[in-house]
Amino acid sequence: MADQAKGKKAESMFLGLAISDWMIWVVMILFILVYFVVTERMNSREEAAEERSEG
Amino acid sequence: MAIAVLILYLLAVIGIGFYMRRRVHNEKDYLAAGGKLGALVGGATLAATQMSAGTAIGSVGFHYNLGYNYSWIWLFIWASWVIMALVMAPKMKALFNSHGALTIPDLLGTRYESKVIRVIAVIILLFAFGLTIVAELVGGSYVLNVAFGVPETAGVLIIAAVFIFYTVLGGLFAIAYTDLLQMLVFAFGFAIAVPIVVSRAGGFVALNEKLASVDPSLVTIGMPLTTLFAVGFSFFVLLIGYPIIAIRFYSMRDNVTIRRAVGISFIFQMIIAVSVAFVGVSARVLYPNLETPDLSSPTIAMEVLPPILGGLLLAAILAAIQSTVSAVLLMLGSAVSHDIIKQVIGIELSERAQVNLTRAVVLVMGIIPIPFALNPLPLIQQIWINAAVLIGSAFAVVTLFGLIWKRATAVGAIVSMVGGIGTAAAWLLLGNPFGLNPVYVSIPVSLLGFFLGSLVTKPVSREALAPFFRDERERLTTEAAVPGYRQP
Repeated sequence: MADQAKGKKAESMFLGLAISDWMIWVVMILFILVYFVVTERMNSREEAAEERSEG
Repeated sequence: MAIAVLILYLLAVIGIGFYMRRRVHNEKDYLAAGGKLGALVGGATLAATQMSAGTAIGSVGFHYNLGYNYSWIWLFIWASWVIMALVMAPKMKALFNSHGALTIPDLLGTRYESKVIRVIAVIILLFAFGLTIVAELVGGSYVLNVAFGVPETAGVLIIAAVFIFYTVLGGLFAIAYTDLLQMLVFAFGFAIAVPIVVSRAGGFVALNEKLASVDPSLVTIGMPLTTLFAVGFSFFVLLIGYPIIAIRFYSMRDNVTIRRAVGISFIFQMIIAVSVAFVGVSARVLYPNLETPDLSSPTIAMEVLPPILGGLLLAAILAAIQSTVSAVLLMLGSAVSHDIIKQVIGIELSERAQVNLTRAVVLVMGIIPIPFALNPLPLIQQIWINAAVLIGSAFAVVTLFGLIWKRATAVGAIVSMVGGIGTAAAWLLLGNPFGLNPVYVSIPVSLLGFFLGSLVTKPVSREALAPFFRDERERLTTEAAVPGYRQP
C-alpha cells in the first residue's frame, strides 16, 4: 500500500492527466515519424538501385 | 435522421461493390486486386482489416473501464506491423511476382514444399476465422438492436447481406475501396465525436477531474504496467504474420507502396486510437452506470451526438465490422477455391470459371456462419480473442521464421503449427491456468517444435527457397547460365 501511495504521489500531472498518459500520444507521433523517415530512406535507396539497373 | 445516415452508408458500400465487379477479369484481380493497389487505398485496407467490432465496441469499453493507458497496446500492434512490412512483405511480394501466390497457404505450401501444410493451414483458417465472422455478426446486430430496436435476427441478416453482396461481386477490389470509405467513415465518425463528448463532460480538464474522482487510476495507470506489457506482448506476437493482414501485401503495387501503405495505416490507426480512448473515458463520466462497457459507443451515438453525427458513429461501427468480415470471407473463400480445389485437388479451370467458382465459394462461406450468429453462444466477445490466440499460435512462427531461416522444413512447420494451436486450445479449455495468457505457452511450444522438427529432417530444395532468399535465386541463375556448374 505504501509503495502504491508513493507511486501515485510521484505521478506528475498536466491538465489533469498523468504525464505517462500524455506520453502515449507523444510516442505514437514519434513512432510514425521515425517509421516514415526510415522507410522513405529505404524507398529512395531501392528506387535509385532500380534506376541504376535499368540504366 | 441517424438511420438515414446509416442507410446511406450501406447503399454506398453496395454501390462500390457493384461498380468494382467490372474490374475483375481473373482470379488475381478477384483475390489480390491484380496486385495494383496504391499506398492510400492499401493503407486504408490494412487499417480497416485491423479494426473490427473489437475496436469500435470492445476497445471503447476497455477505455471506459481502464482510462487512457490502454492505448499503449497500439504500439505493440504497430511493432508487429513493422516486422511484417520490412521483413515479410518483400518476400511475399516476390512470391506473388514469381509464382502468382494469392493466399497464406500458397506461401506456406511453396516455402515448405508441402501440400499437407497447405491443407492444415486451410483447416485452421476455416475453423478459427469462421468463428470470428459469427462474433462480428453478433456484435453488429447488437449495435443495431440497441440503437434502433432492430430485432437481432434482422440485424444479422442485413449486415450479412451487405458484406456478402459486395465481396462476392467485387472481390478484393470491392473490399479495398469499401475499406477506404469505411476507414474515412470510421476515423471521421469517431474523431468528430471527440470534441462534442469532451465538451459535454465539461471540457478536457473537467473530464479528467471527474474521471479522477470516479477512480484516480483512470487518469494515471488504469491497467497495471505488468498486465499492460503482458497483453501488449501477446498482441505483438499474435499479429506477426496474421493472415488477413499479411495477405494484403500481395495486393499492393510494390515494396515501396507496401511500406508507405503501412505508414498511412498507422495514421488512420492513431486517429482512431485517440478517438476511441476519448469516447470511452467520456462515456464513463457521462454514463457511469452502463449495464456493460460495450454499450459506451452506441449510447454516445444515440444520447449525446446530434442525429447526423450519431448516425455517422453507428455507421463507423458497422464499417469496422464489415471491413473485417469481408476480408475474412474472401480469405476463407480463396482457401477453399484456390488452395484446396485448384492447388491440392488440381482442378484447372478457365480464368472466368475460376473467378465464378471463387464467387460461389465465397457466397457459401458467407452464408454458413449466419445460423450460428442467430443462435449466439454466450461470451461472444471472447470468441475474437480466442480465435486470435489460436491463429497466432499456429501461424506466427512458421510464417516469420520460414522467411528468414532457410533450414526450416515442412515437418518442423507442421509440428510447430499443430503443437502451437493444440497447446493454445488446451490452455484455453483448462481456463488459462496460473492466469497465464495461452500465448506464453503456445508460442514456446510452437518454436520448439519448429526448430527441433526442422533440424532432424532433410532441408527443403533450393528451388523452394529461391522465391524467398536472394542468394538462392542468384545461385540458381548462375547454375542455369553455366551448364555443369554447381555451387556448394
